[in-house]
Amino acid sequence: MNRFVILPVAVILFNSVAAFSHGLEIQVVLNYPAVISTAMYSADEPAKGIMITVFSASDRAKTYQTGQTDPAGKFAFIPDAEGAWMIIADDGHGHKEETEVTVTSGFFHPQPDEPIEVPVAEVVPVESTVPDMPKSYKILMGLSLLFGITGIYYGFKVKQSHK
Amino acid sequence: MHISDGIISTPVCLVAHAVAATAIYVSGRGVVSEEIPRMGMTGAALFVISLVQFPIAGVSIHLALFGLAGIILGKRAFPVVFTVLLIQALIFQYGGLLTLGINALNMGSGAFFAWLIWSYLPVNQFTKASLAGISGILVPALLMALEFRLSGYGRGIFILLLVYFVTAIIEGGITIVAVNFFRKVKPDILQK
Repeated sequence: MNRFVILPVAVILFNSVAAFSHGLEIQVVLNYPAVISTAMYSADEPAKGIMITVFSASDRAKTYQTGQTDPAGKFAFIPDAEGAWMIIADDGHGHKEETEVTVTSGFFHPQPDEPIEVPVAEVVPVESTVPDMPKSYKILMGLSLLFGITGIYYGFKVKQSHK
Repeated sequence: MHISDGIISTPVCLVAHAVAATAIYVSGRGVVSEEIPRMGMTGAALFVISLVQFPIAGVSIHLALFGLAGIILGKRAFPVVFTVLLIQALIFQYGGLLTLGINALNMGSGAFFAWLIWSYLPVNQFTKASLAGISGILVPALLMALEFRLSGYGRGIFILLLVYFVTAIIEGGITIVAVNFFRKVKPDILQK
C-alpha cells in the first residue's frame, strides 16, 4: 500500500468526531400559577422538542397534560391540585427521566405582598435538533459525490464503448 | 449569485428547468469517456473555489471559475456546472432546488460565453483569457439582475453588478494565470 493510499485513509481514520454519552435531567421551578420544568442533557445542553408527560397528583392513572419542550428545553403546566405531580421526559432516543414535584397548598395562595412573578416568554431562535456538520465534512462530502458521479459515468461510458 | 427559492415565480422556474434539461442533453450529447475525468476534475475545482468567500462592500462574494471551465470544457461545461450547483444546493443550501434550473442557465451561460470568446474571438490568448474570465462572472450576474428586475425588484438591483465587476476583474486575472500555466504544462487541456 503506497503513501498515496495510506495518506487519505489516515486522514479519514483520524478525523473522527468525538463521541460522548449524556443523560437527561429535569429541573423544576414552582412559579405560580405554573410549574416550569427545564429538561437538560448532562452537558448543559437544553433538551429541545422532547416529549413531556405530566400525571396528576390526584389520579396517576390519567395523563394530565402532554407536550413538547420548547427550544430552551422548557415545559410548563398549571396544576389544579396540591400533591405529588409526576413529570416524565422522554426524548425518544433512549433518554428518559422522571421527576416528582410536590405542590403544596401554599403554592395556590401566594402572599399578597409578594409580587407574583410571571414568566416572560423568552424568544429563542429555533434551531435544528440535528447538530450541524462541520464545513470541512460537507466539502469532503461534496467532492466525494462529484468524484462518485464522475466515476460512475466514466465506467458507464467505457462499458458502452466496449460493446 | 445563487438565487434562492421563493424569489422567482414557480412557472418561470419550471420553464427554466425544462430549458436547462434541454441544454444538458444538447451539451452532453456525444461525450466520450476520455473527456469525463477532465469534467470531473473541473467540477471539483468549481465546487471548492466557490467556497472561498471574501467580503466586498458589505456583500460576500466568491470566485467561480466559470470562464476557465468554459475554456477547458467548452460546451461540456454546462452539465458540469449543473451538477456542481445541484450538490451545492443539497449540501450547502446555496440556491434552491426549484431555482436550480435558472441558476444553471445563468452560470452555464457564463461558461458558454467564455467558450465562445475563447474559440472565436480573433485576439491574442492573453486578451481572450481575461475576457473569458470576466464574462464568466458578468454574464451570470447580468442575467440574474434581469431576472430580479422582471420579478418586480427595483432598478437598484443593477448596482449589484458593480460588486460583481470587481469579482470579474479578479477572475479575469486568475483565468490569465491559469491559462498561461496550462499552455506551458498541458496545452491540450485547453479547447482549440
